[in-house]
Amino acid sequence: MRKSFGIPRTTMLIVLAFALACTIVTTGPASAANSPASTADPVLLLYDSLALSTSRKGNVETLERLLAAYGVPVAVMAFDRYAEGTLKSYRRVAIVRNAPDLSANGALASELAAYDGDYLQIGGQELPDRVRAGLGLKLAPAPMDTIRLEAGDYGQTLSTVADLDLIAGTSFDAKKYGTLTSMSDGRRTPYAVSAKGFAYACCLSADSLTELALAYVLKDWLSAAGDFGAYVLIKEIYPFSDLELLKTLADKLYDAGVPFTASVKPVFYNTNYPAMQRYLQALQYVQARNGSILVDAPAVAATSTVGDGSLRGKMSGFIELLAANGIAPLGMSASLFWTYDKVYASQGMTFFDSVFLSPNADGQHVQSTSTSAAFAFSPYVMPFAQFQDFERLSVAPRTPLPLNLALSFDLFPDAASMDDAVDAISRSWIPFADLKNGTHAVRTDRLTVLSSGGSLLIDGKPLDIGKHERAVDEHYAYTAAAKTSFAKLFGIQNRILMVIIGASLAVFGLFLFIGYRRYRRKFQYPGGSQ
Amino acid sequence: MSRSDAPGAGGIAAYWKRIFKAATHYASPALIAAAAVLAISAAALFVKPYVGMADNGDYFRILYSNGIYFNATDYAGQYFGYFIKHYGIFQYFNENGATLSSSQSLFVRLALRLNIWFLDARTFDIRIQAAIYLILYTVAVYMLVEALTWKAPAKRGYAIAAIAVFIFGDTAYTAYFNSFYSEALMLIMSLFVLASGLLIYRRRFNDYAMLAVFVISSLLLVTSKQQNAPLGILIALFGIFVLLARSDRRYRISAAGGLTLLLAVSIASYVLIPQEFVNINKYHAMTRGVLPDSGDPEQSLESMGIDRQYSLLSGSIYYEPYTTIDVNSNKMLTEFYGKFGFGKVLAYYATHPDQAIRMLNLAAKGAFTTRPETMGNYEKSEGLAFGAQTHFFSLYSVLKKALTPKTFGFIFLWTIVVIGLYMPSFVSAVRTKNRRQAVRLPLLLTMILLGLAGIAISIVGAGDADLAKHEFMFTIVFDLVTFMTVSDALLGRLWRNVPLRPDTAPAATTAA
Repeated sequence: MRKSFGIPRTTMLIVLAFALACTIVTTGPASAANSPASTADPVLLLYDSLALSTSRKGNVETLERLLAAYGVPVAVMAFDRYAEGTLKSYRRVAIVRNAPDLSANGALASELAAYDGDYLQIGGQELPDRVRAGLGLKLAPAPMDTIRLEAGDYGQTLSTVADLDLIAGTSFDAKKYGTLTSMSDGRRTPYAVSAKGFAYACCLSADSLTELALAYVLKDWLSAAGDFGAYVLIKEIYPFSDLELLKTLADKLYDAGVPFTASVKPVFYNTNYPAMQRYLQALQYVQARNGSILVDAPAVAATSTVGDGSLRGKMSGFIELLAANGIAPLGMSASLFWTYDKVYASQGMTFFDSVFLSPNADGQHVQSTSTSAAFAFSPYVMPFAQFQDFERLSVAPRTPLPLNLALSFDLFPDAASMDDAVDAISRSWIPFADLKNGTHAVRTDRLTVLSSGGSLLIDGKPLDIGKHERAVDEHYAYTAAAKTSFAKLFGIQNRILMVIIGASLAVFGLFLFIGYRRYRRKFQYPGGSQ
Repeated sequence: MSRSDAPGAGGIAAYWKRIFKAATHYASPALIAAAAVLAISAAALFVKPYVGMADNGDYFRILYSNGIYFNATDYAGQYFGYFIKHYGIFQYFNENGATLSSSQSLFVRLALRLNIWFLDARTFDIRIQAAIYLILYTVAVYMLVEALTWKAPAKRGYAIAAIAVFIFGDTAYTAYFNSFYSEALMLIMSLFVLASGLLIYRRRFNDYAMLAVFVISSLLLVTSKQQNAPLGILIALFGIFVLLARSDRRYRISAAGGLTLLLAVSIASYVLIPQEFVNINKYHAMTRGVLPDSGDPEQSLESMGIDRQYSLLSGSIYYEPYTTIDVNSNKMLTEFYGKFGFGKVLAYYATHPDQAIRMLNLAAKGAFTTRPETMGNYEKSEGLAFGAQTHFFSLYSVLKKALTPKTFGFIFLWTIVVIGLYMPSFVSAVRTKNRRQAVRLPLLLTMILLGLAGIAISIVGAGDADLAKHEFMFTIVFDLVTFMTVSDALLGRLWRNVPLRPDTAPAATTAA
């Protein structure tokens, strides 16, 4: 007789059936293992200016996030901070030119001219000869104009674009990406070109279609392979949020057939309180309605200039708490700057191979570093409102996405805005992917949470996501009753003392009254009583 | 003893008597007390090993806005552990705005000017500030002892002076002078307030000069720290008795003007507290006060209109490095801070007296500790352990901490006893319409209320967060009032009225 090991056959069948069903109803395998190969080779990102107070402000950060979405570590450096010989250590370099009046000079200029690795440049006229020749690139400066950009299935009109160099000519074998149409003269030129490990894109600005357009270029430049998917990401979920609204949202998305990912804020204290039980209950419900759970990065105090070493313990504690309550976190979400911090990366993110990176919000570094940590699966987070600004060009067939894209919402303040958003998601006809369908792992010292083919496993055991909610103990004892000894005896003693004191006060009062009367008779009415 | 020795012994005794008489002629108890406090404190503050206070992280608020910065290379490593006496002086435009407005800045800036003029334009030596504080403190001690011992029998007067030195020369107090904590200013100004009030009561010096000292020291006291802002209202209210001490129009207008100014400044100080500080205190009032001790934190939150889910914040502090929610987020502003004020917290404690009493007892535990336990007194170069504290002339603070019952019941009894002891003379003064004699009890009551208000403000305003440091006002007041009570007991002046200047009221009228 053959002895069976591991998971019972029936359970295995149920898991496989569920996984198969999920694969059928959703598209786009999302997998940390199958996503574009995470190369250990970092990209050196050099920029002349951060373009603060201009329309291109934030484009360096955008490029950092785009590169992170392909699992590439990024080392960022300004031109004026460039240290001689740095280029030699990198096989890929990306240059962002925001200021036409600033040039690479000295060591950087000569090293760029001699550089023989892969090269990407965004904007600007100054290019190494080898790159210019490789692309057969001819650039023509364009006057400030309104430009229409078309990339993939989408188009967007960018108003008053300044300092733009249009691609006037390229070599025959260079691949062209997107089109830029000048609204004043109707001239059409490619948005970007690439060939032989070189690439040039005309511009990049945050919060615009250029993000998506550049992603097509990066996909080829980084030789990223694999299928990419779109995800719905719900952010700003606190234990203090309207948890009933969250459950209703989960119901509505479930009914609309939209798998989604919920990024939930971690809780580190009072995790046995009823308030926490309600939070966990809501997350269980979300998971049961085809929602995947991500752990959001905790808020960091502005005064926290030196880490207290507690982050690792806190994060692993929260992951284990979720797992103990039948919730399987599949990854993390954080602001980009977390990947540029040694403490955050080593203590807060090391558990995850899938991390959704959002634009930088106000934040505090503990120990910053110039090279980012990279993750196997790291969708590019874009607010859904921004995506709605893109004009859909054709109905079918859809051009495959160039990267994993997470369209994000903050948890809605009320039911009306939630209904509007769910309606917009449904009408977008985007085939959203289910995070659970990919392979994502979360590992602490004590347990491993895994998703694969639509099923969730905690320490190898399949998770029953339809499990009933655990009731919240509304009569929770917050303060432990003080330990008492001989309570009954002291209770009787108290009563006896109270009677004695009360009687003494009464007698004392009586004496006072008698004394006062005698005093009045003796001194105020002399002879009255005598 | 031989018979022949007796005249010799008598001669020595007579000789000492003559010396004592001469000493009393030239050096009053007040002068002796002030000189002794000056000498002891100078030895502690200006002679190696220098005694001071380590930074607990608060210094930057007062330093940077006043043009001084941390120039020690390992400054962060010395937090709480070591006293640092040298700081850098900004040599370029100071872009640091004032994070708080405090009268302490006046003294820091004065010390900085003197440092630049006479010492060094690049390095600030905190001992310059300590010298300024010590001179003021010496004057304050002189005034206080003079107010209590004037026209007192010499021997008892010197005994009181000795007690004054024992209490006010304690390095648990004077170490604050070598620090940037506002406690130093609170200590000095509290002494001035009581001393000037008592000197008006006794008509020892010029009333107008003493009134000016009373008003100015009160102003500096209430503006030294944000939590002291409400104290000005108390001083202004009870200061009415100081106003009534004389009936002439000019004095009353001066006193009324001073007290009105005090009231206005006090209210303005409270209103102008930066929102960030208000939010920090609100956070702690709830998470370190109302919630941790509540039997049902969710019900407590709902009674204030806050979502019960915020019970998860119970016990946490504002400065927690990693938290569920950004304490400065819009969500917190609208759903938490925006839902309650300190009035609601006060009302909560009023309707939950059991919780209030538990908090008061908790407060009482730290109310008799003058020297914060976590802060070192020595420089790192002394080679002593991190956080090492001085034992030089600190017997009083040690005994006080060890021997006082640390319950609010004791504080309550102490208050009742003190008021009870002084009540007969007050009743007598009111009956005989002797307004000047009626100043003493209200003045004492003001001081006691300042201390109790300090505790109440700490609890209502910030729960148990940093309670020991917030109770410094009570610590001072307890010592001042106890010293005054003991002095008056030694001189038999507790329930008797006290001799005033001969040309005014009749002296030593028995109250009972």
